[in-house]
Amino acid sequence: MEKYQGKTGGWLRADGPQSDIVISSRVRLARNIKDIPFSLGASEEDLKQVVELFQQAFPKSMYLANADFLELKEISELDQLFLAERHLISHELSRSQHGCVAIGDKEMVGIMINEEDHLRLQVMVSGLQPLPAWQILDRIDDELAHNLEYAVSPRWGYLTACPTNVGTGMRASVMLHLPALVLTEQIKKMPKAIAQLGLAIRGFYGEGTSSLGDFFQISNQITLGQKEEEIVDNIEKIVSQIVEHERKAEQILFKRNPLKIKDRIHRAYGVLLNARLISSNEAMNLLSSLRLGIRMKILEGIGFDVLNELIIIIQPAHIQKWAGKILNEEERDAVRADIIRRKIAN
Amino acid sequence: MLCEDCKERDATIHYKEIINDQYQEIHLCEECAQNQGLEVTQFSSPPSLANFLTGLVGISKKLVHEEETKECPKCHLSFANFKERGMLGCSDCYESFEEELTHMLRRIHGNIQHVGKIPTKIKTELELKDKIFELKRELEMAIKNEEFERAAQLRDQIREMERRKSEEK
Repeated sequence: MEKYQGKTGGWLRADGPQSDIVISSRVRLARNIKDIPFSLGASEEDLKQVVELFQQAFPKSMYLANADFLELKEISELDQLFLAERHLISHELSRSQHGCVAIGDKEMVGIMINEEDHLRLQVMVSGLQPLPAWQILDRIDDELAHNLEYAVSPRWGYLTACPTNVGTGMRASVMLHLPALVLTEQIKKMPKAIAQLGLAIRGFYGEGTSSLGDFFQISNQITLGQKEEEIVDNIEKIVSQIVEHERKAEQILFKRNPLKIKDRIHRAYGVLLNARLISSNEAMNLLSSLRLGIRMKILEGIGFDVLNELIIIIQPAHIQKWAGKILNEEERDAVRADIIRRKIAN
Repeated sequence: MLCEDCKERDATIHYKEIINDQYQEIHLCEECAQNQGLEVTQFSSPPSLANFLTGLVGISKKLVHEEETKECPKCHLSFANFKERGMLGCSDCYESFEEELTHMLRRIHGNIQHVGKIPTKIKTELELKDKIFELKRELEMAIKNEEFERAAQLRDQIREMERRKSEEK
């Protein structure tokens, strides 16, 4: 676990297309092994068998040969939370009796074993590039299929525990930062419009359209009757349009009242640079304004990679790992303020 | 707002439906909603996926009894249990509940046929199966038209493919 400390996944590097607005693209596949009951109906023996079969299969994959394999029951609760904050495992996996995770180089590839489905394969990359993410994942999936027999039917495709995933078993999602659409209230119209296109938008941290830090996730809802390439292509096209809307909204904000927007951004910077105690909600909202300021070139000198990294490392488990001990809420707020100051003052 | 059905009582049930990109808002009174087989649940917390799925399946009251007692012979999950949890027990459930799932999946995805990738091994098997089916039809035609030389050729081809198919397994 130590190796993960002090750095974050390659997908946060902000070197992909449109990375000032699009944080990351992620594609995941749900896969189950033939003739073994799905996780919820599986016996302990079944779950162990899934782990064994995966352990035999993954070292033969080129992409996964050097992956770390962790059994969650072998690591502390704090470490589990730490991995969840990095989007490598889900909270549901922590509850599984034989939950495991395999993590590839720079955290680009992650595989959860014995979550809702036997395997959940994911690839995360920087910026708006769901197609390359899918292409990598497709190859990993092929490599694993050489050594594992998946549950598939010609009619339904890949069989999944929940029928909302059946078919491709694919969920492609893009994480976006949309402060201008939030400030101009255009975001309110989006869920309905997006639903009509077979996609869903949700706040990445929090519910509905009042997302913490103005981060949103857009993902496909349909998994049956569409090819994988169609799904990622659809997401890419729609997200490109949303990015354009966000850029227009940014111009509208500036034209409408330049002083007001500048004031908002400089205030946020001032607080982040001087606060000695800061909650994660306050930090996320101020970082959102700071990020907008960098994008609009109202402020300079802070990279998007640093801003991306901060989203991850100001969360509770990361703060406690940083401090090297369990902290209470106020202690965490103090360490959080300290981390932010150091990162943005540089 | 008046109920869209009876147009007498106040509409207290409001829901949105999206089927194949068609978005619709529906406003009904409690009585009409119940008559249409909609289960009216008071949510203290947001509706769960299980409730959502239940909503998708449990439209027609007549079907409910038959559905609920149905069980997957492999993992013994009952359909009622599936509706409650929103999760299937094993891959055989897809066959055991084919009828019910077809209805549900059409509403969720707007489709009932997978068109994406499948593992190469299975793809080859399916292609062979299709090819054999096609050749058998040609064979029947050849016999009907008394083209016996052609029929013999086709018969050999089919044998060869069936041999390959059993080898693949």
